[in-house]
Amino acid sequence: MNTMNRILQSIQGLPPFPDVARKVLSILNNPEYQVSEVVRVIEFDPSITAGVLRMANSPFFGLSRQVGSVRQAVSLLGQRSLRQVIMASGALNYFRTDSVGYGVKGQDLWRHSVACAIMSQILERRLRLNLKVDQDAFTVGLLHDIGKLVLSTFVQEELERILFLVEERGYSFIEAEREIFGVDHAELGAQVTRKWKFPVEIVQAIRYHHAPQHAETGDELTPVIYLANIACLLLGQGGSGIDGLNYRGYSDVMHRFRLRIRDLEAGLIVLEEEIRKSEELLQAG
Amino acid sequence: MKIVVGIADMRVSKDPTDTLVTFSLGSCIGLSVYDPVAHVGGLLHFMLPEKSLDPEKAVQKPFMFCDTGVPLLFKSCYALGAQKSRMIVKAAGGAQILDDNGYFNIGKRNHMMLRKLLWKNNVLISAEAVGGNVNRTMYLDIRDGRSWIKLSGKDMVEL
Repeated sequence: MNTMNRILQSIQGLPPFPDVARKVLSILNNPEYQVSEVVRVIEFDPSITAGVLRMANSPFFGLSRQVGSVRQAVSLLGQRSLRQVIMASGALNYFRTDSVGYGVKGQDLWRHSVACAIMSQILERRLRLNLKVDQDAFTVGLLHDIGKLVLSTFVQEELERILFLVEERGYSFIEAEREIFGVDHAELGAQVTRKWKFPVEIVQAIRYHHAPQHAETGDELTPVIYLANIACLLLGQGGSGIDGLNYRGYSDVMHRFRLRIRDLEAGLIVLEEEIRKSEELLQAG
Repeated sequence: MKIVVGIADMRVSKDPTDTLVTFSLGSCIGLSVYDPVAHVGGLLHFMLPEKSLDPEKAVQKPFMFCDTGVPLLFKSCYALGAQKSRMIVKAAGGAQILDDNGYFNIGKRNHMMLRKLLWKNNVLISAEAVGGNVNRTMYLDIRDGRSWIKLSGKDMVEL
């Protein structure tokens, strides 16, 4: 079996996205959802329950009082925040192991993913985008680097060749991945989330999170995630892996949203502020 | 004791058992200053070049910006007995993504602002590790004033 097939095969090794999270999200798609129904489903999964209890209390969600039960969390959090808490609780388990090939601890990749989720929301607000519920930028932020978990072992095996391409030949890290493996972490992330039956818009945004020029016309989610990721790299919230800041800047994305560098700087100020409010989300627990 | 300097933050010390550290500098800049006679040092982690971007924020969090953070770093060291003429100044960070058009060049803007500000105040940078596409962690050892840089996957090197 060649390396690319071995890599694609190893996607199977990733546990499926928690069923409970999927069920809750589908209940929440109906705006008239019953609190008791959501609570019953969440409490079926102890790890999602623990995540909800911890994260719901993050100042990020701005609840005025402390939440002590799943019922309280479900009744107090709005539909949008509840989706985010559920997604974060479901995604968190994948970041318990380190991505050794990228030289990044699970905890740090999780912090990067949450920071990217937060930044994508800041941009969504600032740019006054009206993304549909199932195009949730927060979810894409959380999962955009999930392909790194699959590729990490292979990166470790080929690190020397990758670094040669990056340091000596001017490749970006992801271009080097593609050159050596025939596939990169963004494509793998897309394959993983497609397998988990996430909406196609989310899968596409993960696939092109380093290549926004390939996004379809009208797709606003992809460029937002791209910019959010770049902002996190600049602010040192990129996970501090061996790939560092070796990713390409595409100024077309900035032009498309009529953003100047000062707008991005202003975005970083808000990001720093929100990150400080989000310790309960950022901690892998 | 290891004292962590967060983003948009600054710490000073004259306790020889202290090491100041700031993690994961991207386009931000870490600036260390040290007076080898008074054995006083400080470390600043600023994010952005100018307070004009958000003057209100600059009042709440002066260490976020180069033009408000750097003067405060020096003043805080003077308060512990340091003198300007003896200060050893080192900088790290200001990294960039791969960007031919320079559109995302916050790191470079930070570095230019820092140089301009220090030059206007007759302060020389004695060593720096600035630019490139890497994350840096910066340490300042208060015992001997040595600054160290750590990159992901590499050994620690003295600056």
